[in-house]
Amino acid sequence: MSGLDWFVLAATLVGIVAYGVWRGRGSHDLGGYLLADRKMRWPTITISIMATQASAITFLSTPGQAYADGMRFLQFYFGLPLAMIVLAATAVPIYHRLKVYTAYEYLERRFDTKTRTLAASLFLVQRGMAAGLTIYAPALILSVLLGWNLMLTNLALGALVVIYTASGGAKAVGYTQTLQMLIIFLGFGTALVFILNSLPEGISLLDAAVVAGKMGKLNAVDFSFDLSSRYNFWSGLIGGFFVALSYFGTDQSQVGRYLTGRSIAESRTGLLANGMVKIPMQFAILFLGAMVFVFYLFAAPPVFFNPVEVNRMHSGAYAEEFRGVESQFEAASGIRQARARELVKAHREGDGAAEVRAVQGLREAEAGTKVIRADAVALIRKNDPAAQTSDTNYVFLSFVLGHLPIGIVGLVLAAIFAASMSSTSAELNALSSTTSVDFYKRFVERIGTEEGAAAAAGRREVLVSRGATIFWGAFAIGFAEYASRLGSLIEAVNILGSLVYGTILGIFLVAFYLKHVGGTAVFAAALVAEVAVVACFLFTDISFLWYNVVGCLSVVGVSLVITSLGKGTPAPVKART
Amino acid sequence: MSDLDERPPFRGSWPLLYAIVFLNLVALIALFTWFTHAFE
Repeated sequence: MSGLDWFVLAATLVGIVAYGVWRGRGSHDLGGYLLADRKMRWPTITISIMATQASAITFLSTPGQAYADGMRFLQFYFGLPLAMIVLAATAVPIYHRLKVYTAYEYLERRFDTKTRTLAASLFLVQRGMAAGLTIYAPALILSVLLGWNLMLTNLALGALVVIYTASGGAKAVGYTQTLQMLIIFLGFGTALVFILNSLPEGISLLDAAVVAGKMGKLNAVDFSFDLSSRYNFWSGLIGGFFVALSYFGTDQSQVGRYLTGRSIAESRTGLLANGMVKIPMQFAILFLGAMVFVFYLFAAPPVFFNPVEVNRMHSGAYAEEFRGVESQFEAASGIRQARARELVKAHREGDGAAEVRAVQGLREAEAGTKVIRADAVALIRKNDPAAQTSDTNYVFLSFVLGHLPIGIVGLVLAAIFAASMSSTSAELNALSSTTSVDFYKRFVERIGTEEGAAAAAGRREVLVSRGATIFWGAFAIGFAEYASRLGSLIEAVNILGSLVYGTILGIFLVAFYLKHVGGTAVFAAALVAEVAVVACFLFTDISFLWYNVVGCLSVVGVSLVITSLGKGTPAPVKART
Repeated sequence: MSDLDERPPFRGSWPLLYAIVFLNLVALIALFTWFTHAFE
């Protein structure tokens, strides 16, 4: 990386932290610190919602996923706009009217303390680990680029986020997210332009799309119904709907974003605007990955995209064999490139028969490279059984470092860091909110009746929230150490979320719509549902998107059964928050 | 003030806004279905 790249990256990081500290100053009570005094307008809310969901994992892993598996991951987001409509119409007015700080406060008002505490605890565990993955992704980039110790890199990146999030709370999070999204759009927009310009002379965007399509990389929609297929239209629409309903309706990292709205109308519009722009944004990121695939059809890719593992092979016991595999791969890539050119030529000439033969030839050449790549992965595993054998997350990074010009590399890396910081800051703010409101304020705090006691309590609550932010930052950094043992990061986060999202969603759906079901019934149902979801994960090959459906319907069904048997406590409990 | 009394930040009603988001989804799915088949 050049000096200019380093300057762009460092200036961006310092600028974000300084801007966050500056904009977040002046919060003296919990309303200001956790909810930005409820003064945000809808464009800021939309950007904040998008920036919270789109982490560095999104920008690192998604193009790699398109490179390896095509664009079918897009379908995961098909249920999202429908969830936005449902939440805008139902959850937003309830949360606003009750003036809650967290989604889980509502559960105590509707059910009881144990249900609120169960949901808040599930959130803390899941989101604490997810925050670790959010920090880990860009830390991985630095460790690969510079050979830094991964633990120290995690620590440095996590600390930058903690500084402005602990300092300024929700205000700092919201305002920095606007700046971060600007950097993200600029960085990835520029990368896409450069990728298209990097295609060989004579290969147009249409040619690239034809080649990508024939190789199955533009498979954005698949209507076949298969429960074991991870991404198809039905799992995306139904499973994705439940995921989005749960994530945006019950996950404090998102609920906290639209609770900052100055009115119901602002919060609603913020959610609905997100429902309109999310799918096109994901399409653009996936398309970028598909174009990287086409680029590497015409320019020989490395046999394995993780340069750390490749360097270890070059200096290890199997160096000679590995170099042999690399030579074979280079030769096979040359054949593949020739086949790709034949396909472009046949398509341009409109020769249907030649095009069919060219597609067949290109697919055979691609299969040949895959066999050689599998040999390389087997050697890597033989050299070190604990080595990372999934390189999906390195595909885009490898392209950026190897083929983008000076300055643009720094800009794209800055965009990746901005994405990581935007998600992590919102997650830490939400973890802090839940810890201070649902545990400290609920179980520990005692406010006296003397003059000035309320103001003192407010300052103490802000102090506790800052402490909680720092604690969860440290927890996330610690958990990031284990992330290197997972496969595709974005899927790991989604699978992790799906193990608890369905259950939490079920609790909230019962709370919103089944008024005759009481706290004990829903609490028992939630425990049963969680066992069912974990059993699905351990003992079946059902796609993880369906766990949300299983968890949610189990809570609703079992709580209804328990209530009908007369074992649920019927009356909602009015309680302190 | 009821929820429907609180108007969207720009012209129109909430049901209209919900319909726009839904129709946008339908249009995107149709567009991406065409896209998939066009380059298959």
